[in-house]
Amino acid sequence: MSIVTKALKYICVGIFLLWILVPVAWMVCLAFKSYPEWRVAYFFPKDPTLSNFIILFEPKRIIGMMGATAIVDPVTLPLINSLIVVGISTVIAVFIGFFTAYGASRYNSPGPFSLFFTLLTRMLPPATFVTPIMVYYSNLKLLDTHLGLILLYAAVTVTYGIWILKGFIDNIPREWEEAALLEGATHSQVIFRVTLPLIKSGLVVSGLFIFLLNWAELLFALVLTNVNAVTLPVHISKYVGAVGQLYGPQAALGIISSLVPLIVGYMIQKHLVTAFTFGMVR
Amino acid sequence: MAYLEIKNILKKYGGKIVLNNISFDIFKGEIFAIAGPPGSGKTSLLKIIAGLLPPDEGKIYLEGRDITNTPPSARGIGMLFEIPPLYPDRTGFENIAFPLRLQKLPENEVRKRVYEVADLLGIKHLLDRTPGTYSGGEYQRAALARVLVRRPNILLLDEPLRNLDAKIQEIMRSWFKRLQRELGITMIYATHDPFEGMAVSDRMAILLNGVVKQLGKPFETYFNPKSLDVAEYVSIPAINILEGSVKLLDDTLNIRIDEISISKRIREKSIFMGKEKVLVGIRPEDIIVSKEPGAGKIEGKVSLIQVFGSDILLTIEIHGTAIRAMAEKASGIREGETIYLKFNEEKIYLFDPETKDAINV
Amino acid sequence: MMVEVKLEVENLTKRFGDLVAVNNVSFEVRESEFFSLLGPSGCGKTTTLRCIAGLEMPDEGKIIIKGRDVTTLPPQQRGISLVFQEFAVFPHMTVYENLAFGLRVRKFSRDEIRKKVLAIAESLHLTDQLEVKAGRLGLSEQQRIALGRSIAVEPEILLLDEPLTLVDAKIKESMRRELRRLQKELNITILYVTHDQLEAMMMSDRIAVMNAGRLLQVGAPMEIYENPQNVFVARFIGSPTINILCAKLERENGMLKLIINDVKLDVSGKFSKEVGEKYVGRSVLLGIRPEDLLILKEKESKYDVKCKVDMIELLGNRMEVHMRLGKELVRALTLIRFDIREGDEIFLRLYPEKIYIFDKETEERIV
Repeated sequence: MSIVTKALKYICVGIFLLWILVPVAWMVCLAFKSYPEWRVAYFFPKDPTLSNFIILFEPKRIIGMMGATAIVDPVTLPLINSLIVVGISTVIAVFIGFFTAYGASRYNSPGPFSLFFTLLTRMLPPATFVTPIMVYYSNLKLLDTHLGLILLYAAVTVTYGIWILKGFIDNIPREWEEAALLEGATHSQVIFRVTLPLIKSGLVVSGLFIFLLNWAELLFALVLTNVNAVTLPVHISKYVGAVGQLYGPQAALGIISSLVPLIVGYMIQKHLVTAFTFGMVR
Repeated sequence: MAYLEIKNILKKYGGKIVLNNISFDIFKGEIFAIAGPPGSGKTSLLKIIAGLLPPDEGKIYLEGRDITNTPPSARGIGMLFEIPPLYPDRTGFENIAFPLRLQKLPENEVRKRVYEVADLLGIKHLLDRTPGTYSGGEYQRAALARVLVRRPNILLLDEPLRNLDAKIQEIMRSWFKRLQRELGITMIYATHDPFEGMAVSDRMAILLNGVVKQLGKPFETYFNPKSLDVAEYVSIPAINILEGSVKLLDDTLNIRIDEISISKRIREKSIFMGKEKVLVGIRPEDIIVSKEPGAGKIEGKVSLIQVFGSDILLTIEIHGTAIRAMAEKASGIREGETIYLKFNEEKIYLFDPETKDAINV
Repeated sequence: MMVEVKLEVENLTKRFGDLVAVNNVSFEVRESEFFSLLGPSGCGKTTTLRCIAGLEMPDEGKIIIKGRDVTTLPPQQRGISLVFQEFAVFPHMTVYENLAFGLRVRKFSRDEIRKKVLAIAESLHLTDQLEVKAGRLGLSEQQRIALGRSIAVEPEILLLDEPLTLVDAKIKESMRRELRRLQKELNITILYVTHDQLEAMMMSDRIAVMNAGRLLQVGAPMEIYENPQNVFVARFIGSPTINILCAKLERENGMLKLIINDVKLDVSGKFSKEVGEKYVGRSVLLGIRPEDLLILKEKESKYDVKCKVDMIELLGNRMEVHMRLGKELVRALTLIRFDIREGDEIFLRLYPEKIYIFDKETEERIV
C-alpha cells in the first residue's frame, strides 16, 4: 500500500472521528461553563463551575439569574423514573426473552416464522401505533404510570432478547444438557444449573443492548407520560428550545444521562469480552 | 441370561426410518461395539438405550426388567457423549462433582468420590484447572471421570476417540479396554471406525442404514462377513469386488475372473443352480503379487504405490478396473511396472449379485 | 537432473508472546511434490503453514516461492491456494457451483468447467450430490467440497491444513488414494499438514516431522520409517508405536552386549569402536517396532525374552499383542494366530538387526 493511500485512509478515519467526537467534547466543556460563557466560541471554560449541575436539581435558582424559564422541575424525578422503568423492563425483557429463546432453540417452539414475525413488528415505525396505544392506555388507566411504560418497553424490546439469546443457547451443545438429564437433573435444573450459567455473557449482552434502547426511548415516553412517570429523555426534550435557552444545564444533563449506560457498560466489560469471543466448544 | 436386552427398536425422524427393528443382547461385563458409518443411527441408538430419546417402537430390558419408560437417571447408565460436557467456566473438580451435587450428596462424600475417580483415571492434576487448559487425552479422561463418578453399571461411549490426534487415539483405545477390564463394567462403544470396534470389543454389531447387518465376535465379522456391505464396511484397505462367471460341474464350482480360474468343492449345489454370475470379494492382503508371470495369474500395471504401515499398498490397473493389493516394502516394485497377481483361494468371498448376501461354500 | 524448487522456507521463527510456536524451521518443497508437515497438535505445523500462506507474519526468516521472496506479500499475491481445517464452503450454492466457483472467476468455458468439475466430483465421491445445496450436507462432504474447490483451480502450490480430519474412516482411505492420484495427474505441488502419520506416509513424497516448534527430520516416508534420527520421530512414525525399552550396554568377553532383564543381546556388529567405547557401562534406549517382533511359545535362541501376554487387540487380519517384559509394556504386531491367549507366558524374539539404539539423555539415535 502506498504512502498516499495510507495517508488518505488515515485522513478519512480522522475526519470521521472528529465529526463524531467534537460535538461530544463541546458538550462536556459546555457543561462546566458558567452563564456568561455559554455562547462563546472557544472550547475550554476559562472559569469552570458546577453551577449547571446544581441548576438541574434546583431550577428555582435560575429565575433569579436569567428571568423567566419554562423549566421548573428538578431532574431528580425523571432520573429516578428512568432508572426504575428501564431497569425493570430490561429485566423482564431478558427473562421472557431467555425462556422464549430456550424453547425456540431446544424445542423449535415458537417456530422460525413466529420468530421472524416478532422481528417484522420491529420494522414498523413506532409513530404509526403511538395513537392507538395512547387510546388503549387511556382506557386501561395506564397513562402516566410506571407500569404502563414498563409493559410497553418490555414488550417492544423482548424480540432483541430472544434473538441474541437464541444464538447463545444454540451454541451450547445439546449433549451438555442431555448429560445432566442423565445425571438426574430435572428439566428446570438443567435450565438453571447448566444452560443459564453457561450463557451468562449472553444475558449480560442482551441486557445491555435492551437497556440502551429503552434508556434513550423518547416518543412513547413523551406521549404516555405527563407528570408522574416522566423519564429522562422527556426531561431533556424540555430543554431544547426552552425559554431562556439554558445551554449550560442542557450540556450537564447530557453528561448525566450518558453516565448511567457508561457505568453499566464498564461494570460488565468482562462479560462483553467473553460474549464476543465465544468459541469455547471443543 | 442377557444383562441388557434391546428388542425391536424403531425410530423415525420426520418420515425417515433411522433405526429399523433393532434387536440384540448384551452380556454383563463385556465390551460391545456398535460400528457403522456416520448417519447409520449409532448415536440415536445409544441415546435410546440411555433414555434420552424415546423409541417409536420397541422395548429395553435390564436384568429382565422393562426399563423402556424409566427416566434416564434411574437406569444406572452413564454416557460419554461425543462432545463431552465439561463446562469451561468451572474447574475440573466442579465439573466432575456436578452430578453428585445434583443428587445432593454430602460434601465429604462428593470429595471422596471425585478424588477416587481422579486417582483411577490419573487426572488428579487437572482438578484445579479449567477444561480449556486440558490436552485432548486429558479432556476425554476428565469427561469420563464425570460419568464414572456416579458409578454406573453400564457405560455408553459415543465415538470417544473422534476428536483426538491419531497417535493419541492408539493409546486411548487400549486404555479404554484396559480400564474396562479393571472395572468390569459393561461397555457399549459406538464408533465409525471398524478397526477401532474390532480392537476394543468382545462382540460387535455392524449397523448400516439403521439395520444390524451382522453381530458377533470381531474375528467372525472380519473373516465371515454375511453380506457385501458388511464386507466392504469392515475392510480397510477397501476390499476388491470383482465380477466372475460361474459354472457348476458335479461337486465343483468353477469361477472365472479374466484369466483367473478358481475351482472349489462345494456342498450346497442348489445355490448355484441357474446362476451364471457371482461377485467375488478379495482383500488386498490376500492377493499375492509377483514380478513373474505364471499360470492362474492376471497381468496388470501398477498405477499407484502408497506406503501403508510396514508394507506398501499397490493400485493396479487391469482392463480399466482398479485392484488394490498389498506387497512387501522390500519387493522393489515401481510405479508403471507390469506385475502379476494371484488370489489366495482360501480367502475369497462369494456374494450373490442380486441379494448381495454372502454365499457360503 | 535439476529438480526445481517450488517453495523454500528459511529459518522461519514465529512467537506468540513467550511461546515460540515455530523455532528456526527450514525446508524446501520441490516442484510437483507432495510434502507433508507432520506432528502432534500444537507442534507448530499449522502456524508454519499460515506463515507460508501469508496469514501470519513471521518474526524471523524468509518464505520464497518460485524464486520470489514473498515474506512480506499478502496471501493473494503469493500464487497459493489454501484449504482450512475449518473449511470455506458456500452453503447456499450447490456442490457443483461450489466446485466451479474458482473456475468461473478465472473465466473458463462452460464445457471445460463441466468436465473438470465432474472429474473432481467423481474422485471425491460427490457425483450424486452435485445438485444439492452445500449447506445441507454433513461435515465429511463439506470438507471434500472445500478440497475440490481448491484443486479445481490447479494452483501453483496447494496448502492443505488437515483437510481429512472430519471425514470418516472408510471414506478417508479412498480419499487418500484419490488425492494422491489427482496430485500426480495434475502435477500439483502440495504442502499438507496433518497429525496422522499413516496419512502422511500414504500420500507424501517427503515428510517433515515437527514437535514443539522444531523441525526434527525430513525425508521420504520409507527413509524416516527405517532411519528415525531420534526417539520422537521413531515413536511418531509407525503404528502401533515403536517399543522403547531401557537397556544397559556391557562388555563381555570382548563383545558388546545389551542387557534387558535376563537376556543378553550380542550387538557388537552394530557399534563402531569409538561409539561402543563411549557407551559401555551406560544405560541406553532400545527401540524395536512391533512388526519386527516374533512371538514364540518356547525359548529357541539367545535373543528370546520371556514375557506375559496382557491384552490382545484384533486389527483386521493382524493382532496387536500387549505384553509385560518385566515391568515394561511391549507391543507386538502379528498375523492372527490362535495359540496365544491373554495371560499366556510366551517368548519374544528381539532381532539385533532390527533394533534401534538411542542415547538416553539426548534421545538421538546412536545406531
